[in-house]
Amino acid sequence: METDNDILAEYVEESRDHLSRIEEIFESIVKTGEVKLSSINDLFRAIHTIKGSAGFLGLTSIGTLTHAMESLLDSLREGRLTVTQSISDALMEGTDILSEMFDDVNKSNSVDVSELVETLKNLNSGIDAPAAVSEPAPQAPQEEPKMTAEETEKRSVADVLNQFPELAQYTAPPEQAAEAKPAPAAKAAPAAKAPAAQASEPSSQDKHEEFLRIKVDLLDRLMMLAGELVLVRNQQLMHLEQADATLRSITQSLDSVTTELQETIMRTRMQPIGTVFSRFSRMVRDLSRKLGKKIDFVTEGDEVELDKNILEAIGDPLTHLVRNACDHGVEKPEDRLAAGKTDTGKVVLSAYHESGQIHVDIKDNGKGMNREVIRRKVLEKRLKTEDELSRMNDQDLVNLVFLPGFSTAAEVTDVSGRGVGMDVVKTGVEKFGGSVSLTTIEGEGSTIKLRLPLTLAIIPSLIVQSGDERFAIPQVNLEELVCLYDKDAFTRIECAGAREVFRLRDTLLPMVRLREALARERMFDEEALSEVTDQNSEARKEMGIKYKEAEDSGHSIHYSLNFAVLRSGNLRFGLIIDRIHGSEEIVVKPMHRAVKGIPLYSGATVLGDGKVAMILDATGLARHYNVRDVGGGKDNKKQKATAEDGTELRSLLLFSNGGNEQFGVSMQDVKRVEAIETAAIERVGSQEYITLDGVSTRVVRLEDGLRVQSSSQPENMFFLIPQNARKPYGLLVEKLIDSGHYEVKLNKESYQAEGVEGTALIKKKMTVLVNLEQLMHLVDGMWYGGQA
Amino acid sequence: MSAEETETMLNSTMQMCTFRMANRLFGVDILDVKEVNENTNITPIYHAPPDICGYINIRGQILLVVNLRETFGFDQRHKTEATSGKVVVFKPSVDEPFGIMVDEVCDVVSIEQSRIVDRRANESNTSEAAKELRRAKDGIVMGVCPLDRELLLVLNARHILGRQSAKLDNK
Repeated sequence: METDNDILAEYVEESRDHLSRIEEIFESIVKTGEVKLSSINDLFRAIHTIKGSAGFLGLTSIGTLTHAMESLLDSLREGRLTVTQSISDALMEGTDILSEMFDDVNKSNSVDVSELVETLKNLNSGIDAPAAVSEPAPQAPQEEPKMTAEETEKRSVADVLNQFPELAQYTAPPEQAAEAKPAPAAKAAPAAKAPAAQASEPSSQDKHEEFLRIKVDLLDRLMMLAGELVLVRNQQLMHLEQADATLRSITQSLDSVTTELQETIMRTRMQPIGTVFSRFSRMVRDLSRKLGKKIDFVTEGDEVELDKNILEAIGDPLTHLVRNACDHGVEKPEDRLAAGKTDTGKVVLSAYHESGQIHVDIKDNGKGMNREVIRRKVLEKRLKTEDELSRMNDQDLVNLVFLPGFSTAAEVTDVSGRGVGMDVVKTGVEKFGGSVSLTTIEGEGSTIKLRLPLTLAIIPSLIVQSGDERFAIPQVNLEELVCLYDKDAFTRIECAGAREVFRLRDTLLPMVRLREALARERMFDEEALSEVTDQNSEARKEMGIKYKEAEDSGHSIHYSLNFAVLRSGNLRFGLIIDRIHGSEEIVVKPMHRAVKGIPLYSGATVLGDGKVAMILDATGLARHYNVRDVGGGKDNKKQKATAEDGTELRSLLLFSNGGNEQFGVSMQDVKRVEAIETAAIERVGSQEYITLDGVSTRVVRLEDGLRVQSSSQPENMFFLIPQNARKPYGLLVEKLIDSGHYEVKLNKESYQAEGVEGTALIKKKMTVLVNLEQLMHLVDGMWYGGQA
Repeated sequence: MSAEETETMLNSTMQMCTFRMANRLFGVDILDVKEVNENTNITPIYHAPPDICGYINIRGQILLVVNLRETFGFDQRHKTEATSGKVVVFKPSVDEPFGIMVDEVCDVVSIEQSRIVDRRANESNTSEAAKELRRAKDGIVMGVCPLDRELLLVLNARHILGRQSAKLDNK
């Protein structure tokens, strides 16, 4: 019995391969718009193979359907029929039904295929009759009576072309055209026919030899073994010092071979994204017909490779997005013409590498999204209040489409509009460490960018410590790190009800204490929360008293408090940890079956020193700690601070650049601040660079762009790295003065220059507010200007 | 298990990897054991059931370590020892990678299958709490085998983790 099942399983596997090959051929036919004879031969061969085994396995439905398809293909192949829309539609439908039947092959016999079989037969016979008049085909078997069914398949194109001059309408590929010429001679000498026949199909022959089906767990095992080999190699390297020269060279080759082996095995899991992309052109074509739209579908970067697991996981989100682009994005031809565009819309799906991630963009040139419609829908569905909406900026508003339950489709169609679209995409992509962003210009179209990790197995993460244990936090969840020193450590964390919060710029950030979260197995309720909050506020009071005592007695105590700002979905929270160790690329291992149900972890990993660390799951952590959005994100009190007299509360970083001038930049514009040694700055021509994290970053000095005092160039300086910089830049400053929220009344008259927003009195001192982006532009322009 | 297999089991001798835990002698089928490892650094898994010690790293592979003292309800003063013992690691054919913490690894002992006594049969007059404990042990302890000097508790490695996951599901 078991062998029967094995055979069946193997057959299903094989047939699936054939079906995907068939899909590919249809794709290329649709894409190029021409039907090659070789394609029809390939189709015929694939269908024939499926049919062949279906018979003896007792799969009658599959047998009947494939037989009908085969006959039709045969007629096409022999030139009795030419490909029409209805024929290709029927064949594609057949392929679809076949793939459905293979999903549950045991029930395939109960699938009713009679209707389609009838259609196929009609198509075949309908045009068969007139063609039969001049039909020399039946003679073919008589000419070569020894030809078996298998050999028929292999019949050379040359032969067919020779017999049917009308087939010239099919553009044969060059190598086949070349083969066609000597064919008449071959026909005269039947013995010479075989080589010609073989040469006519080299591509399909090679294909079979190049691939091998391998079980995934075998690959996983290989991967694991390679990992063990790496560790053995590491041990060997450690003992190398005592070893002699011969051994050293052997170890070195062991080292390089091991590394290469590991990389190669990693690559076995990578597959081109084209395998996922290919199914969409078919879908878009069907959709455009159904929706009465003209859509030009283009894919780019099909060859970009991704881990197999990720490829499987992005299928559904991408389907949603492509469907959305066709249904909601691209307009009907008449609407497009009315809007002054061409009647054919365009949907582009492109994949490319960027900064260690794979980007997939879905771009349409349709109508884009109307902010008003989004607002109205959000209010209608009561997803947000009017008040909340009025405080949102443009991008926030657009991002509302990712809210669960949101849909702008005027009516629910069978294509889309059930309001389960974008949030499913977002959660789906975020689940495996990717991210989604949306930009849309009304009237011009929308672009959705997916950022995906290269593999699921290795992720960049931050290593933190709580108690004696270290934990890994995936970088995707991490927004920023905050360190509070001395006084701030006990004054800046406040209580809001039972919860601890921190005012991060203009938002209230709920705080989570990792230590407490680990110590308490039960999910946090109000009671537990207030217990923790009370305990900690007591501790803070004590710290305050001690600090004051120490201060009074002349020496000082140093406190510090670290937390990481994590994001999970729409929730943001601060995770208080004892220590931050730095970032590490970690290999994610899934949790053991026996401890899989614990929500706090998403896996485990082995750190550089060999110790196991748990990987924290931000979503699970937030849920366990019962984190809710505090005060809708924005701090109302702060918002009101914008008074009529133009005073505005702004979060600024204050610095000086030598001398006594005080400068300020918006905190939002600064990505991070690095302390650097001036000796590390290198000069190339008139430009200065510093290497940060392996990237040569251009050094901009304040005096390069503004007429201010030059820095006295002390040994240690600070380097402000701007947010959203298109090139790696940084601003070199001498001293950081302070950061925080300041009441700013901007004065634009007293000091005007490019790269400067204006001046304001901050801490009773005139402060020049620098616009980082403008300054960078200015300096960049000067550099380029100077060179050009 | 088919009747045939049971028969061969009953008639054959079995090699036991024996070890000590809280002064008692235990044994598991040596064919289930992959290796015995020094317990290096254990990483605790917070929120895991109490009888899970945590994860250790053995040559790049992450391994779950189970503390059977907890499961059996042995005296907790041994707990300090639990972090300094050895780990008996089971083969992948037994379950997902895991091991058990033991105090000391002893000899390999050959025993006749037929000498393993299923002692559950003759213990009926026990308290509720003891019964509860027994249920936890059920399946893990295959039976007792009298050796020359002491009793050997024969464990079935395949059932150790079955308990764990069931417990977590109940939570």
